[in-house]
Amino acid sequence: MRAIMKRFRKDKRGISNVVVVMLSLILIVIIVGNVILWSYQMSQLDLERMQETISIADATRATRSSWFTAQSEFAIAVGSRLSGTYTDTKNMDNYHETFGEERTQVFNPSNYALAGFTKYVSGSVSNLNSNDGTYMNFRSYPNYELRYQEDLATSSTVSTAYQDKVSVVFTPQTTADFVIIAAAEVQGSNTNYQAKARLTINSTTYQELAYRVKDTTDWYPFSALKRLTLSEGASYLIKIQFCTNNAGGTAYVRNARLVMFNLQSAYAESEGLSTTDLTSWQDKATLTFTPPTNGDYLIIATANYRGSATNRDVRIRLIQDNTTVHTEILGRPGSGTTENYYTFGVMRKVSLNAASHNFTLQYCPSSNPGIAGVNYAHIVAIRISQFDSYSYAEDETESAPAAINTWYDKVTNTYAATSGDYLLLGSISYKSGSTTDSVGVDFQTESTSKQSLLAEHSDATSYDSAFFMTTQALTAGNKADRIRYMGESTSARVKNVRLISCKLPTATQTVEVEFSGSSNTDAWMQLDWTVDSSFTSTAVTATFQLYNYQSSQYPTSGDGYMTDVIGTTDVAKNQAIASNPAAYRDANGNWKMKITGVKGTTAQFELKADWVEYKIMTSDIYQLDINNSFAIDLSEYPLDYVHGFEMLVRYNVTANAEKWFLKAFNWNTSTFSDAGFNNTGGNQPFLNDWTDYAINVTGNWRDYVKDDGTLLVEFLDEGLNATRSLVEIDFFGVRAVTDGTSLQLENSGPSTIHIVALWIVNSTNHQRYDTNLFINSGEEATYLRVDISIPQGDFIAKVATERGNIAVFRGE
Amino acid sequence: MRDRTPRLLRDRRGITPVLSNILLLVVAVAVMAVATTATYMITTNLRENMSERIILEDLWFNNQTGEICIYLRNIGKVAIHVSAVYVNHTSQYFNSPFDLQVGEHGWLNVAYGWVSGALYYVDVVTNRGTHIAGYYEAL
Repeated sequence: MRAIMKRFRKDKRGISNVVVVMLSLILIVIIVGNVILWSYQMSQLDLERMQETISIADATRATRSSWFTAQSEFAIAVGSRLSGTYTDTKNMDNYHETFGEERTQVFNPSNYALAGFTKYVSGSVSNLNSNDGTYMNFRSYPNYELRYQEDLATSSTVSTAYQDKVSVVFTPQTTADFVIIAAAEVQGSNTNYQAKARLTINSTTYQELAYRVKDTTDWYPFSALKRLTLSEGASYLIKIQFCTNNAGGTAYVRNARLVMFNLQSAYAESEGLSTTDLTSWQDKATLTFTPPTNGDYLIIATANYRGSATNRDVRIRLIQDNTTVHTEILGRPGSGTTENYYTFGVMRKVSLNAASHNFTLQYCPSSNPGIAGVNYAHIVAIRISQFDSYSYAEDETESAPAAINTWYDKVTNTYAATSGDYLLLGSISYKSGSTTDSVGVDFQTESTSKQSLLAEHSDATSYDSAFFMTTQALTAGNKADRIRYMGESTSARVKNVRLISCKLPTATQTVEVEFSGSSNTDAWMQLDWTVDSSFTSTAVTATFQLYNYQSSQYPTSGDGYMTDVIGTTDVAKNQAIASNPAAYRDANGNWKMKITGVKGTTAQFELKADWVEYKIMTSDIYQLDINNSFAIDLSEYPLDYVHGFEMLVRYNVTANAEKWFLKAFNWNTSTFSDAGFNNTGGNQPFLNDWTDYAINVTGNWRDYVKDDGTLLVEFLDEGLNATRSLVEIDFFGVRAVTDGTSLQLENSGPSTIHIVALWIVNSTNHQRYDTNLFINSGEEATYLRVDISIPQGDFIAKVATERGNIAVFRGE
Repeated sequence: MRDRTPRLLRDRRGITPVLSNILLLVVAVAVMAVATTATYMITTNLRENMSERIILEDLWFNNQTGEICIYLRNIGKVAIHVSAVYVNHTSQYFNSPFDLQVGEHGWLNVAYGWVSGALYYVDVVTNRGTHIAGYYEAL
């Protein structure tokens, strides 16, 4: 071996030969290996193809689908179920469901109407046909909405950008006109700068005060008003904001209150800046309206005014019907003149007759040369009868303090309050009477100061006005609200002082819906009406009323009236009317009933109506009227390839004096009908023997089949039996009429076959259809295609497998 | 280092074996590359020829167009390209190019004035030489 290796090392040519031979062998092995491998694979493919044995035993026209039977229990409009269940009607066998004729007939609502601001939520009137826990839902609406927010603490800022003092996010439950009232007091630390406040709604300004500080100890009033239509479900951001106009001065704010409510009101506004140099009164905003009846109204008005010179005044007033001046002021601007905007705010109760009235906000300069400017002018009139009660007091005379720095009552509003929430408003015109001393005003409820202003005017003749506002929960008892005043000098004056306390209506939610339906005009012995319902809230007072057509009203007691306190659990309310039941239908047999749910709450709730039944009992006729839903399997029988439907009922009756009818629900007209049926004359049954009653519908069949393939089929008698008979139903089904193709296929080979193509060939056309059908080894299969019609005359049907085999059937 | 360079330049016997070895290596690599490429091409052609399968699902003497319409389906493992169609051993025009990817199927329309009742030998040939042929009677 050592010698061989030694020789090998010496013989270089021998190594090269070996390497070349080895490489060649590798290449040859690769080629041969691949050839053998591919040959094996293709041979396997060919072998499998050769082993495939597919045959078509038959190819026929498929004119009917299989039967589709009931999937739930039959609904009984008239009659009763005696034994068995709907499952006994699925096959023709020895099992059947038995019904009995009765003298009652049941009707359910076919329509509904919403009352007030009730909102439909979900469900349909068909959900009211049975007490099955499937509901029709309606959402309640409030009698009114009120939102109040306050921040009474003193806040300060040196920012020239507005800062939030009170911020409310409000989402109305109904779309309505909301009156928004705001009040606060501002103070500034530097008489060279302004303290500012404004009312904004979704960042839009609707009232803005820019008070040039006259005395750093003063608290100047901010009165704001706006009426705006707020949309249901939309979110609104309402704010009272404040700031300074220069960081060198600190602005303060306190006693900030904001209230909004949607009581009915009349309203006018003029928000843009208007100016005049005329010394005669100029109209800024006019509210004209006619009360429906004589009544008391709460008039509230606001504006912001500015002057043009520190030696000229601005005059503003609110005048009614061009005669009655409710408030008139004389404002003198501080330094900065047109940069400053001051408060005009007024409230008063007025009694109006049912004639046209106008309230005008007017302005002008006191003398020439002078320019008066007014913006954000708003006037609202609220009928006071919308409040549960109110108490009002006023003193229009001018009063002066007898001594300085001493508080005096100007107006006291005394009343006996009942327990509840109150809206309290005050209004005043005031002047310091001095440019160095201030006048103070205090608005008190239950001896507690709610708002307190202190103002020093720029001129001794100046008069300003403002209103106060708060809401308060009062306990029952005697109350005394006050407006007090004082002067740092005896030159101070107050007048036009008013106070009102309005009890807010109790917030309630109401849901109200009216259901209507049809019945018949037969002679009735008794009417039973039933409502099964609940609410999504506890303790809702529910009222059920059946309309009386003879008295033309909904009853409020007795027959046709039921009431209960219902919570979140379904309660079935039923009433039998034996006395004149025909009063609760019109001449055509139509009827209607109203369901009302009321609860004292601000939270919305829903009425869940489960079952509404209007059942009548005739005097002598026994009837049976049942119906059920049947669903065509659209995955196998798409409606595009359906040409009609057939109904079959196999039944046995104990009396054959009357005919029996099949009808289907017409989804377009929402009635049971037999229009377009091949037989509308009914079926005469055999006595005590099984009778097959079949109906074929091919004309307007689409009216009876919903897009989801559902049919609602009714089986009823002629309505002639004076004696009660029983009906046994052995089979009840519906099937689709088609024009498709049915192939009987057989795989007699050892492997599973995948059929990928179906050919229908005749003398005029060779049509290929893609298929995707697998048949296991040794099995037979029926392949149904409703989209393929077999041609008239001779034809050839072929199927091709994925592996490439073809089976052929020749048909006629 | 200074001592070694003149010595290497003087030693002429050392250069010849290096050059011959490099040359031999280049030639060997080239030969192997040619051999490998040839192997790949040979095996690819072999594989494609062996993998081609096509079936004729339907043949229609179309009265409306006067054509012979042949429905072909590729059941093999490679795409096919029909290169010629013969009717009674005579090449005919058809909707060329007619290609079928794996699993694809479609009508091959042959422009031929057939006569009802006559018998025709139809032969479809792919570019790899696969024939699918048979006798068909025009009805």
